[in-house]
Amino acid sequence: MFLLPWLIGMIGITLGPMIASLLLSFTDYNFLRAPEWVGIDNYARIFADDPRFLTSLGVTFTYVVVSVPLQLAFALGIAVLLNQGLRGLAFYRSVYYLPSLLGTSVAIAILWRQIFGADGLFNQLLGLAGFEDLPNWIATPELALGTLITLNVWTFGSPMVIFLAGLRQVPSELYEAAAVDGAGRWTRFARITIPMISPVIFFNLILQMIGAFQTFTQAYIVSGGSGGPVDSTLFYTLYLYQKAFRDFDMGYASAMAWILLLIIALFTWLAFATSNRWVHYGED
Amino acid sequence: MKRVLAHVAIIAVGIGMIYPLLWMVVSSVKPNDEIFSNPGLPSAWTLDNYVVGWDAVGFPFLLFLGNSALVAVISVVGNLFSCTLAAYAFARLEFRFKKLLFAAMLATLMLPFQVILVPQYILFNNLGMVDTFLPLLIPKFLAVDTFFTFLMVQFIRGLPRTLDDAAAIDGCGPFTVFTRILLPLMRPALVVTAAFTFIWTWNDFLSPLLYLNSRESYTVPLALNAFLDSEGASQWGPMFAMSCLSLLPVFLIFLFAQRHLVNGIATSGLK
Amino acid sequence: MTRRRSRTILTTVAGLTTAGLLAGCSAGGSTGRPDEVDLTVSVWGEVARADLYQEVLDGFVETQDDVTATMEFADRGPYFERLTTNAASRNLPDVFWLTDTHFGRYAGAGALLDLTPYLGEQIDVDNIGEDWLPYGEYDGTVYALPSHFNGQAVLIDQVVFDERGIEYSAESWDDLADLAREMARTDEGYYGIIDPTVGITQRPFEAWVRQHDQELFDEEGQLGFDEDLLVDWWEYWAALRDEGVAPTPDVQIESDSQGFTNDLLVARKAAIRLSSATHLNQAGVLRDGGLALLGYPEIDGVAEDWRFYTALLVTAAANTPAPEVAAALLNTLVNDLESAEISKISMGTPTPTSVSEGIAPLLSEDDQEIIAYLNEERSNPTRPTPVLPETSEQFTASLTRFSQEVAYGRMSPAEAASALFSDADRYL
Repeated sequence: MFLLPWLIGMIGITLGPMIASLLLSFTDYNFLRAPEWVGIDNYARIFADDPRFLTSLGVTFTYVVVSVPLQLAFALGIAVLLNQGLRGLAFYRSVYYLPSLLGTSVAIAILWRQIFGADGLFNQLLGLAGFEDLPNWIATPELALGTLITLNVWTFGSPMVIFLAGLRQVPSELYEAAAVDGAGRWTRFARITIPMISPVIFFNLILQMIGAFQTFTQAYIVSGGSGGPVDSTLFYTLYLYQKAFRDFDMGYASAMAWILLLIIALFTWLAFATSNRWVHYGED
Repeated sequence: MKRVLAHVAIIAVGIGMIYPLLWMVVSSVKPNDEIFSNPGLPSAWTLDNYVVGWDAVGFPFLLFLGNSALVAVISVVGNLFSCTLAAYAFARLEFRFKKLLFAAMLATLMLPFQVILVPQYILFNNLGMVDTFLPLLIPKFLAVDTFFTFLMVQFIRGLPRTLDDAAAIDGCGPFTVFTRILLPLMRPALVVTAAFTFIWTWNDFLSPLLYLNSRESYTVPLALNAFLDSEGASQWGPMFAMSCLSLLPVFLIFLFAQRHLVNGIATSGLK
Repeated sequence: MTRRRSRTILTTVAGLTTAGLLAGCSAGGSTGRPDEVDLTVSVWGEVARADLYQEVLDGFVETQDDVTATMEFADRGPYFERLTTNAASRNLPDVFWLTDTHFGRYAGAGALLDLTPYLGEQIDVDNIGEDWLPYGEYDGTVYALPSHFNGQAVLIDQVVFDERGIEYSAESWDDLADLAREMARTDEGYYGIIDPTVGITQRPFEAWVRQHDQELFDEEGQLGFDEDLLVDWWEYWAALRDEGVAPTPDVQIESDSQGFTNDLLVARKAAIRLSSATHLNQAGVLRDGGLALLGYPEIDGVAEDWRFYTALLVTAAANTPAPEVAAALLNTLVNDLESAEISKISMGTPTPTSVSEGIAPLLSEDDQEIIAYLNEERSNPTRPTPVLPETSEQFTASLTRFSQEVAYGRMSPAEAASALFSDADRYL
């Protein structure tokens, strides 16, 4: 009974379109004409004859591996810092969340150029520090992905807030008891905080990982949808989007979507499989 | 001394955090031709961009703020209602195919949204709901935002099961356990859900683009997009001005929510 | 909206999976117009342009009985995304805009209204002119009208040319390169000419190809130009880049990233730009004028008919319930002088000479110059491009990508050209 709304939503709104996309992945479909069954042709083309597919996989994996741990560490660090009894923390918490409010707005493309462009803030700071011949970070193929990773870390507000909520659930008497036993700050963090909020860490890890695999909006806005310069920010879903909405190859895009689903599912399964070693639930 | 250092560190990081925002706010009070040519403070402060931007899209901007607020608030109610129910079921109840259904739920997170956009549009179009708010709202009441369901599952599982058991011994049914015991304890998660739903709905561009066509039903992101011309000259000044204005409500919501996040636990009686 | 709903046809697959919920029905060809018509009209651009066309639409509605109309608009990227989604759901707007890049796809799929029955009836063909009608033809049938056109042109910073006492004159491509060298001040970061190869539009390359009496695509939708022509093009620009006369790719790509906002000509950091005629207005507004519109360099005695392209095709949905009204609106958008006096040259120069000359007195100096330039060039013959293949945009993106590979020095022009040609085999 509790599950009823979810079941209706799942079957009515999500499952139908999902199955449609699965079926479409075995068809040639350009939106305008009726889909035509082509078997595994789309999948064959993806694996056998598409160098840009591999490029986009590479970009996406690099992004996931680098930005997810960085962002989570940052978010957790700041959350712990903001969970202390310092005065005015309410204000800081809100200020630190501000970037996340902006993170997907169209203005971000402009703002990011103000920081990482040739005359941007970042170069001005480096210039003050004595560096010369500074690159244009956004328009240099080797560096562009780095600016997007920075953008992702910069919008760490969501996991931070979830960490904060988790930290708030840790009963304070645990800390008091530990303090009585003479445990230092780090010991308390490692022995109490981490285990107690491990379900929340786990949640953030899974969700940020899935989100990173699917990164789209920021990459789309910053590169204007091209994934440039020279495909250096061609994220998987950006390429998928180009295939669907620029090239009208919806069958191909659907096949790519299901390949990504399998990749993500594999990583999520790995995370779940190892989770009973380090995630502690109140029910145990 | 240590406290001062902590404050200094927090403030230093904070400035880095909000520099782009400051840039936008300053740009919004600059004359239009200075936005990109003059990186510093404006030569003359002007509110022109606000005046122009307010009426530029054909209706007072207040209408778009109102539309966004309406959609966002109803979405919050929807998500709070539907996601908590589903989360409770997954976290605490036993039923057939639970593992399979849970995996199915997670799978919906993993499929890139780009490929279900079109089938979903066809669905809502056939239900005759295009150019109404319904396609934006109905999914919220049906727990389609897996993010929040999963979030609450994790939170409930973090709560000691002994509480439910004690209540069950006292003769409480699952529904009472849920409303009397768990809901009050989940307050931080509920606040997070409410705040994020509000903010994400407020910022959502793609769904309103597909489902809302007439100007009077525009939400804020659609109205902001109306200033942009990717081929020619965009109206950046009014765009930044209205962006700043539309950030204000979400910022206030967040300020409000985070206070509840902090106070929540003190009154929840976990001790 | 109820009418829109009535013409839904389910795509097979979506129908299979969601059939339980849906009651789709297909609307056949409608004969005779219904008593009351509510047209949906869709355009791209920002709100200022949308307001102009709203006014045109309001004027049109007044001339019709029992017709109402709703207009929707969005920036170009989102516009086409929504159009695609609408098309998939057989829910296209009644009247909407297309570019040549999308025309073949929509026409070929039967999504557009065959305008033949309305030519000479609701649609005044003579006013448009025989030369121009073929731009909206697919397989010999008219599916769209070229309401506005645009032409290849060179924009220069007249202020700087005057300061240096230099007269613009570039008959040949070599002249152009020499002039750019003369204008450049490499030590001050001032560029002689903007590099047109790495941006998202590839109109200058199209001009280059057509000047050689070739086309980007042939009638079969295959690449219609020689590989060597592309190599020459890239080598031409590589030389200017190496000398610092044209910007390095990182500078160029950043300045291309926001329409004209960061354009080097607007920022007064470059002297010459290969452009389209209407850019005089778009760039001029952002820098308080001082620009001049001039002719392209040419290749002597090869081709004279390469100059123009359609800026805008107006078209109607095949399943509109009121095709006569839609056709009448299309006619208004193309031929009606009063409407053009409102929309002016927001989308290019109106195709009918009567209209473009009729609105000229109302225009700003820059806009008048655009019309004068294009009408003068019109003494040259026109050559409609063959209908672009469905994947033409993929080609354009690919051309940009390989141009960037060359510009960043990661591939030689010859390597990149052969890679582009073999890549094209995948999608053409």
